[in-house]
Order: sequence, then C-alpha cells, then structure tokens
Amino acid sequence: MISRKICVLGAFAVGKTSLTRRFVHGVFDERYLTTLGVKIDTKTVKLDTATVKLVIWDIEGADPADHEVQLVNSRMKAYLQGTDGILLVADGTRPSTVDVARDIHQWLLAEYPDVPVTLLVNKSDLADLWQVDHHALDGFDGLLQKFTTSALSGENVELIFFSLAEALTKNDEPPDGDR
Amino acid sequence: MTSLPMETAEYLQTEVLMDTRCLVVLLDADGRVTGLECPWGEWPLAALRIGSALPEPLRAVLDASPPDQAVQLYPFIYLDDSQVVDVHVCANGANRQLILRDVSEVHQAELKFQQKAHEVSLLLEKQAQLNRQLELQKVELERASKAKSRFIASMSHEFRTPITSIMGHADLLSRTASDANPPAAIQRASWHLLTLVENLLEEARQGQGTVHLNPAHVDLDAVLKDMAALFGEQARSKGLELRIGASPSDASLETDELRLRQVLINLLGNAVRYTREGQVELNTVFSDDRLEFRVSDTGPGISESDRERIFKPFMRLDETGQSGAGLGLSITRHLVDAMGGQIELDSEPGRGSTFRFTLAATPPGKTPIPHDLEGLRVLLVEDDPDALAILELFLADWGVEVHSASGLSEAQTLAGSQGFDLVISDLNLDEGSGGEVLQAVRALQPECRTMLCSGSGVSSVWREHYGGFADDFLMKPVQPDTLRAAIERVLSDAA
Repeated sequence: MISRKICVLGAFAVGKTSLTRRFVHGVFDERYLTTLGVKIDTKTVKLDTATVKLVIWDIEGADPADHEVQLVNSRMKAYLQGTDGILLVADGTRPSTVDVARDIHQWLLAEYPDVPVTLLVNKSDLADLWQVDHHALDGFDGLLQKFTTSALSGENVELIFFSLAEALTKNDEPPDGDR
Repeated sequence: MTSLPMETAEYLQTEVLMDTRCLVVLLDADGRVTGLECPWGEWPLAALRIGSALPEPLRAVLDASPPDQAVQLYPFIYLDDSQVVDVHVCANGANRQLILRDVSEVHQAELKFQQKAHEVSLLLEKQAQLNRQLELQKVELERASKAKSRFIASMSHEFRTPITSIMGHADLLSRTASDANPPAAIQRASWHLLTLVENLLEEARQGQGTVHLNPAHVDLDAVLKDMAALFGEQARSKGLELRIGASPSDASLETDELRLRQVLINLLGNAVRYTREGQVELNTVFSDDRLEFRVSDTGPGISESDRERIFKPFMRLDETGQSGAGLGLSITRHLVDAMGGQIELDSEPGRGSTFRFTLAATPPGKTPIPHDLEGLRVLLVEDDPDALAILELFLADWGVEVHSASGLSEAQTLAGSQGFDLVISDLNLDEGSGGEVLQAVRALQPECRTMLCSGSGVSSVWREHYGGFADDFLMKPVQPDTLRAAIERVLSDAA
C-alpha cells in the first residue's frame, strides 16, 4: 500500500487538530487545546485508483506574535521534511490568520515549490462571526485548491483529504510504489 | 551500552547527556524493534517490544527521516495525549536506531504556558474586534444622533414660520377686535407652542453639548408685560393672583431674549400649574451688577429629597393629570447655566417654592432715543408672503414707508433706484441670501442701516459671518415691540 505524508499548517487555534480528529476519528471537541510539537495520525483511504495510507502530521500553530522572528520555526521545519502535500488552514472568523497563512504559503513556495498546497478556511459553521470574504483570499498563487470547512459540522472535511490524496497519487505507478 | 553502535553511543554521550529517561531503540532494515537499551536508568515504554513494529508516530518519523543524514532530531512528538518524546533518528548503515527522550514534563510546562499565551492572544483579538465593532457602532450612533438633531432643528424652523404668522395676526386682531379673548387665546397657545418647540430644540442641542446664544439688548419691560399677559388669564381662571413686579429702571440686560423668555415661561408655567390657591409672583432686583429673577408661588413646595431630581429631564413629581414633557426644569437649569447664571431653589413643603437666578447686567448705558418712525424708508426683503405681510403691517402701523422685495435681484433693483434709511432682510431667501442683500444695498447706499432676520441659526454665529455689514439681528418670531426696539437701537447707534 502506498503512503503519503500530509502536513497540516496554519496559525494557532484555527482548527488544525479538530480537522484532523474529525477526519481520522470522526469526533469534534469544542475545547481549545493548543498543540506544542506534532501529533501524527494515520488513516487509510480507498480511492478509485488506489488505496492510500495518509500519514497526517498535525503541526503546532504559528503564532503571529513570533511573526517577525520566525514564523516557521526550526521544529516545524524538521516536521515538514519529506512531506508530500500540505493543508494550510486559516480561521474565517479571524482575518489575521489568513495573513499568517499567506506568509506561510510564501515561505512554502520558496522552500517546497513542488508540494501541492490546499487552503482551508475553517469554522464555516460560525456564519455570524465570519469575516473573511473572497477578496481576502487574494495573493495565494499556485494553490491546489481552496475550501471552506467546518470541523464541527464536518463540512468538506472528507472531501479535502480525499482530493489531496487523489492529487498526491495521480501520477503514481500502481502499486509497487510503497514508501 | 556495549551493544550500541559506536556513533550512537558517542551521540548519546555528547548530545543526550545522562538522561535516565532515555531509550535507544535498535531496528532492523524493516523498522522492527530488535533491541531496547536504557543506558542510564529504567524507562519501560509499554508501546515498544522487541520483535514488534514501531508505534505509528515513531514509524512515521522514521519514514520521514532522510536516510542519508547521520542524526536527525524530531522534538516534541506526541506518543499519546500524555507522553511526548524527542526522537533522534541515527543512521547506522542499513540499520537505524531511534533515541527517545521522555520530555513529557518539560513539554507539559511549556504547553501550559503556550496555552495561556494563546488564550490571551485570542481574547485580545476578540477585544480588538469588539472595539472595532463598537467604533463602527459609535460612528453610526453619532450619525443617527446628528440626523435626529438636524431633524428637530428643521422641524423647529418649520414650526416657527406658522407661529410667526399666528402671533402676528393675533396681534393685529387684538388691536381691532372688541372681544380680546380669541386673540389672547391664540397668543397664549402660540407662546406655549413656541416654548415647547424651544424646549425640544434645547434638548436636542444638549445632546450635542452646546447652547448657542443670541445675546442682544433685552427690553425687560416688554418681557415682563408679556409674561403678565401670557399667564394672567390662566392664573385668574384658577383663582390665583399673579403679581409681576416692575422691572428695575437702573439695569440694562444683554442676553438671549428668547432663552430668557423660555426660562421665565417654564418657571411661571410650573408655578401656575402646580399652585392651587394663593399667588404666583415674578420679581426682579438689580444689585452688584447682577439682575436677580425670582419666581415664587404658594404651591405644594418641593421636599429636600426631590430638589435635585426635578432638574432631571422627563421628570415630574406628580405624574397625575399634569401636562408637559417634563423637560422644563432640566432645560431651564441648562439655559440659565449657559447664560452665565445659576438657578437656586428655596422651598418649604406645604408653603411654596421660590426659584431664583441671576444674570449679569449693567447700569443703563445710552438709552435708545425714541424715534418717530413716521416717514422712515425701509426696504423689506422676505420670501415668505405671510411673514412679509405681518412685518409690513407692523411697520405701516408706525407710519413707515415700506418697500418690499422677495429676493436679491429685486432688492438690488429697488436699492438702485431709491434711497432707504433701513433694510431688513430674511437670512434664507429663495433667491440669494440675506447676507448678499445687505452687502448689495450697503454697496449702493453706505449710510443705510441694516438688519438680518431669521428663524433658524444663531445670531452669535451670524455676527461672525455678517457682523461687518449687519447692524443688528432679529430672531423669528418677530414681535412688534422687539422690532420697534431693534429699529430704534439701530437708528440711535447711527445717530
């Protein structure tokens, strides 16, 4: 079975862990528990063309307060090594997190130009507090896809992982490409 | 220790130090555990057993690690919710080793700090968002408040025009009618209406925090006479005695006459309204450059505890069956303050109340010379036909030769063809403005005296704008006595 490494990146408290838990375990927890380091989970998905083991690295959030110093710190850089795809997450109720995502994306374009990146604007269930419009997502060139998501309702959660998995296996030769 | 490859042993010595919770995991080429070494102590890790596959997180780390790198560090890898390790991946030919260090305690401490820091950041972000929303709401409220004030100001202006007409015609009626009651009633109602409008307007202005005054010489005799006329009938109908003392002959008062009337109407109106028997008095005393106004009644009085409360807006002590918006005393205090005075209250429950306030006054200066207005040539510029008709009648009554114009060009034509002693122009005309009219007439006839008249705006503001070419200002509704006094003043100044 082929396996693909996906890193989940973004500012803190945008819902990276919640999206991963929703996808892997089908659960959601309202509490905010920050991640320091990386939580690694796996889930096997069956696509039309292949069965893929997704190894999901849910990486600690970037803090805009550290922006000037080092948005992507040395720990994150170690975690990103060898990644096949990236889910870049922002929070639709906090415009500042879109700015963080945009800066991370710029960094990724320079460091990982060939790795596909999908942008997720999470917390679509909080419609009353939503502050990110279409124009706010300008300046993200070369994305694989953009989605609004909700870890709470599950909106688009399966879809984003499946479509990224498909993109990551599109040019694969079956099935001796084990990693 | 002896079973460890040399490079790994050296790395342990130099980098990992003598950590008791440190585990070396020996692996075969497939990543299966072939050995476990705890070099400096005991750290049984249940998830690891010789001959078993690595747990998922460690397997993922091993897979992600570049095989060509001698040692690669992956800090803070969650094994589960409570156990966090630093993972060193060491290459040793085809086989690799993992060196695990239990950093759960350090991680937990840092995590707590990080959690708090993030929660504070989120709160600050939320606060900033709320502040932005509040700022937007504030701007919106200010806009709405200004719109409300503009509405009230324009409504007041709208009211003034018909009131001017009513009062003018009532004045005419009172001269001709044998039965004086209907015009008196019209006049009373008009003053009442005007005071209500002024009170509302003042309330709106208080919202903006400013009172604009139109200070001018006040004919105190005329004001006191009007008060007697205004409340005489009402007092008589309740069986009250209304005493209005004569004005002191040794004082000259310069203030906003309309506001002064408003204050007196509010105080006398309350006194007459709340007094069931006895008397209501208004007296004025001049002393030490202050003119004291004193309104006394033999009404129910006001208890000590209520004395501050009655000056609050929309507050009435007796809610039963009394008219009025409850704005009178609040506005009265505000207006007296704005005029540089201070209102005081003496009261004894059951015996009555006395409201006192003083305004700055001076000994009389140059007394306006009573002028015979017979034959005075006046150019009257007014675009409202009713207002024009009233002023024409007032002036004609004094034998004034009146020439009327409704706008700037007509006024210019008249001033170009004949001489005038005085031009009186409304400020807001359909064609041109009062300011332009006065300038145009002055340009043609420099000796001509000039007066501006308006139902809106503020004479202190006019003075700034039009002081150079307007000798005096009149606020609508214009009363005959006020008009005559203003004309005599202007002519006296010229003399």
